[in-house]
Amino acid sequence: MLSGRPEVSPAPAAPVAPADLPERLAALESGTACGEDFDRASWIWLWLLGVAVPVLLLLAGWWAG
Amino acid sequence: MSDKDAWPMLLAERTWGPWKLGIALATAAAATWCYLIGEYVGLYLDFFQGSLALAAGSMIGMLLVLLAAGPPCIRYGIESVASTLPQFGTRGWIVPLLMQLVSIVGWNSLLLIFFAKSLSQLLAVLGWVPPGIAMVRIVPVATALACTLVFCVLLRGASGVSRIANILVLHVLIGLWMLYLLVSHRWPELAAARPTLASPDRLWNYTTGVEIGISSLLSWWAYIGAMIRMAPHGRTVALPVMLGMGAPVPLLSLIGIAGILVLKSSDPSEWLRTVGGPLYAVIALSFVAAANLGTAIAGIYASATGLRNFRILERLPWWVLLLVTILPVALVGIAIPELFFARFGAFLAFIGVGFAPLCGIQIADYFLLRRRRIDIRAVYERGSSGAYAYWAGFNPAALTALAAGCAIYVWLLNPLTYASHGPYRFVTASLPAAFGAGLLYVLVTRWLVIPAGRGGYAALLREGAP
Repeated sequence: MLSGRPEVSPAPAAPVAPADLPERLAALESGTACGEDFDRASWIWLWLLGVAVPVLLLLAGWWAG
Repeated sequence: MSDKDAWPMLLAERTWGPWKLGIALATAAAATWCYLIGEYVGLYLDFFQGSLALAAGSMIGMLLVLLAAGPPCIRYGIESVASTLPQFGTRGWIVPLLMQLVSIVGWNSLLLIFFAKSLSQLLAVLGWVPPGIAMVRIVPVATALACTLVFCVLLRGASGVSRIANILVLHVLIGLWMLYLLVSHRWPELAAARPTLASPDRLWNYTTGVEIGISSLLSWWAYIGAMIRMAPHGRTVALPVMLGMGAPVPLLSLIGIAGILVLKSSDPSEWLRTVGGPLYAVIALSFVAAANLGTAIAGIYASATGLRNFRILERLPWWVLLLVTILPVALVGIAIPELFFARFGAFLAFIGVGFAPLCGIQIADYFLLRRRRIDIRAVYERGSSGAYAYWAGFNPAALTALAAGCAIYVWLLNPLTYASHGPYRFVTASLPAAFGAGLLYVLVTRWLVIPAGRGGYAALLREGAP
């Protein structure tokens, strides 16, 4: 059980996770065991590598051809 | 360990850092399919334009996949199939699961047969077996050997994938060396080479290069969830996915583009002997074998964890589940390798069509309708009263949007004949299919699902979204 434990960290420490599904769901719903979504820096990288760079590559390829 | 099941992984269990994830993804991405992808592009575009169009398309496709499956997988530690429960429902998720299974089993059958053929050719080049015997008798044995290797590595779960990736990632460097060889030895021919199937319409050729890049990378949807859920944060995932998984495919596909343009063969194990003699052939064949083995390991792992979503398979021992996953691949590789090769292209072309609309649906639902919140408990509640039960477990919005997206794709570009219609040359086929499916999903959800109080949207509405 996660209840009563301090907040878990992502460090590769000893496995403290509960084994059963209900306990996992409870831990995730409490927010202590969730990962984090993309942060601002991630969105910048995604925009850069998934939009800006492809557009530049496309323009370069079209003009060079 | 939860890395061997479909249960959500908790933060403490998700210990992969960016390098570990990037290496595992690069090993999974770099395989024989890169040559095939490059070959298709090289049929329509010259080396320079083909390289840039493919790279651009690949990065766009990778972004679509990451935006579709990434956020819920990263946040809740779930894999790709489980991330579709909010859209497809507690029974409808079988549709994405089937897409994942067919795609992964199909691809891995191909890769392991390639592995077996490379091993057979390698033994023949080394003179250890007579060349005539190699293909007929050794391929089934080598396929069985490859399946056994994959099974043994995956007994350790995700750590097995990571361990083998640390070794096999070297093959990416060998691939780049092969590209250097071809470019440095044959640059004048490569620069002057013209694609054999190029259309008189320049824009059509260019768009087709981009489309091949996008659609090829979309098949990573099947793999990505099982890998990125091992990392704890979005910032740990974004760069490794875009560079580790998105970049190796266009990079190694250059081998295929160059090969088909200059030597009329995209497979380096065929042309490297011509360029550099038997030693180079041995290196190339070892590369092909290692590359395909690494990808097959990641694929079988993703497929096995996806199967865990079936209640009946939930408690099965991991090794039994691995056997269940590997068996179809082994049967195809051992019993009907040549028949599978002959029919594989047509079969897979239609599989790829489904992933663009699937991505569109997931992106629209997660970012527009649910405002980045899903009910993780409802994902695992398979009864008729759960938030994602919809109607008898199926969400008509997702099924209609998926069908419409597939129809849009096939109308714009027939993946078998490459006959195109409408605005294909301006917008590709994958992007409109993803956009159309996403739009239709939003409309049907707003007009039908939300007013009916299904899908868990009512709780979000009470909190201010959508």
